[in-house]
Amino acid sequence: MTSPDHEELRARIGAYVLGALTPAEMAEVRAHLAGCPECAAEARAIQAVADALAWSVEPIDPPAAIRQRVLSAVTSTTARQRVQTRGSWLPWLAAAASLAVAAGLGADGVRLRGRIQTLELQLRDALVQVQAGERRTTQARLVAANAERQLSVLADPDVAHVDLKGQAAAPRASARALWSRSRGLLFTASNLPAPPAGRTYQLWIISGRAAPISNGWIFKTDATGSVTTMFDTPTTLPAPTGMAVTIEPDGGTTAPTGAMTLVGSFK
Amino acid sequence: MLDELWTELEISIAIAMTHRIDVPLMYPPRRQMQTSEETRADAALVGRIVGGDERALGELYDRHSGLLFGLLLRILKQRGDAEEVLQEVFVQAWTRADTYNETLGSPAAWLIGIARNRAIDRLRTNAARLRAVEQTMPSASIETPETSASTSEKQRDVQRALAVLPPEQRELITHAYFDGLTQSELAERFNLPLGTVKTRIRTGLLTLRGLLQRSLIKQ
Repeated sequence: MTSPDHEELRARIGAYVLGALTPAEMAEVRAHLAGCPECAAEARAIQAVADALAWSVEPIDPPAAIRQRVLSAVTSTTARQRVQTRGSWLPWLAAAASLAVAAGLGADGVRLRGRIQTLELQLRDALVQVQAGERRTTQARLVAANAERQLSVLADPDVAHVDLKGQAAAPRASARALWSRSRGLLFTASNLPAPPAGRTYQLWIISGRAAPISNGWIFKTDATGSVTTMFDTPTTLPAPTGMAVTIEPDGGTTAPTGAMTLVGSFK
Repeated sequence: MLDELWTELEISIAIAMTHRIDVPLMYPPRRQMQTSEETRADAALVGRIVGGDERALGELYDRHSGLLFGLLLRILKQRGDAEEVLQEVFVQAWTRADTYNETLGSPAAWLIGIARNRAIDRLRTNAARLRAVEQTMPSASIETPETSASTSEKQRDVQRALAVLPPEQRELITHAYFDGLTQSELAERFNLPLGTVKTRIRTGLLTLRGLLQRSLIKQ
């Protein structure tokens, strides 16, 4: 396929300044403008007209709440937290800018620098996207690793299990725990009501008449009141006879203080 | 992706070096849609925003949210979408204020650019687009129960200029600008040859340019 000629590209300028082209067509026109002063002049002349179209619309006052939302959103973003100008491409751009100035561009050099700033931002966006991609990969790895740990508990021939029943505070709740001395504790529950503000669920292992043990085994439920989670248990844990879930202050406690929500005994 | 950006950078440098033009393009001073006094006041606000002054953002909001909300409603048709994008526009104005370059245009034009890009992106990516195209109205403005901000001189100028334009040109230009339709989509929608669409858009914009120049110089 041959690239479009001057006449074709010139005919597209109107659509170009309105952004009414596909990305590929936009790129072709942009490349043409770089080499055709005649078309570039026309594009410049009508770009201002296209920009002015916004003023043909009647202004409408937005709901007052939006202003507040904008201002609270930015209060949490201090000036320092804004996207900073750093990264390995910067020296290149700086070099390009100085070359442009050195080439005798003068005032255009200043505009060029503005353009470079725009490109820097696009590069930053690209980097942010790359970082977001890496974050997602890390999250996926964590999820996979977690699933693997959960499977390893199930696969242990010595796994013990306990079914927990909802108590007066949550009669519809139920849970199941699978415990392997070498691989940890897999806990899954459903129909748990959301704990009151400032409170959290905490899991306890009961071992005969000794005080209940909880190594900070706190958990949150999702919107449907369900949870599936893994806890590490010390290999020296005394043989458990039962398990309970209580509601405790955020962060958990060293000994249960709240009412029991779920209780069960090992078989 | 990075390759594309580099190509774009090279093209920009080539444009600037061989033709001494700026990209994107600015309003020549005599044709500015805002008086230079308003532009200066806006530019001062942007300067304070760069410095982290939240009150300046509030002022910029008070000065332009009506214009932008009108534009967003016109493009998106859905109030909820328009409200969300309006919020995004000003949050972006806050986080990216340092990218505003006054040699490239007024702060109002900068905000309009952000708003339109975001709105068209949203139109193109969500199903709202279909609804919008179905409900598209010619160039009439949306009837709304709430109070309109006052119509300024420049709004009347642009509205007058659009009204003078032959309807077949106006129709294509407004659908491209407010509905984000590409020239091929316009050809299909209006059952016109692609060449006709191109010619009408380009002729219309050149005519508008003449009209706006006259009307603004007359003032």
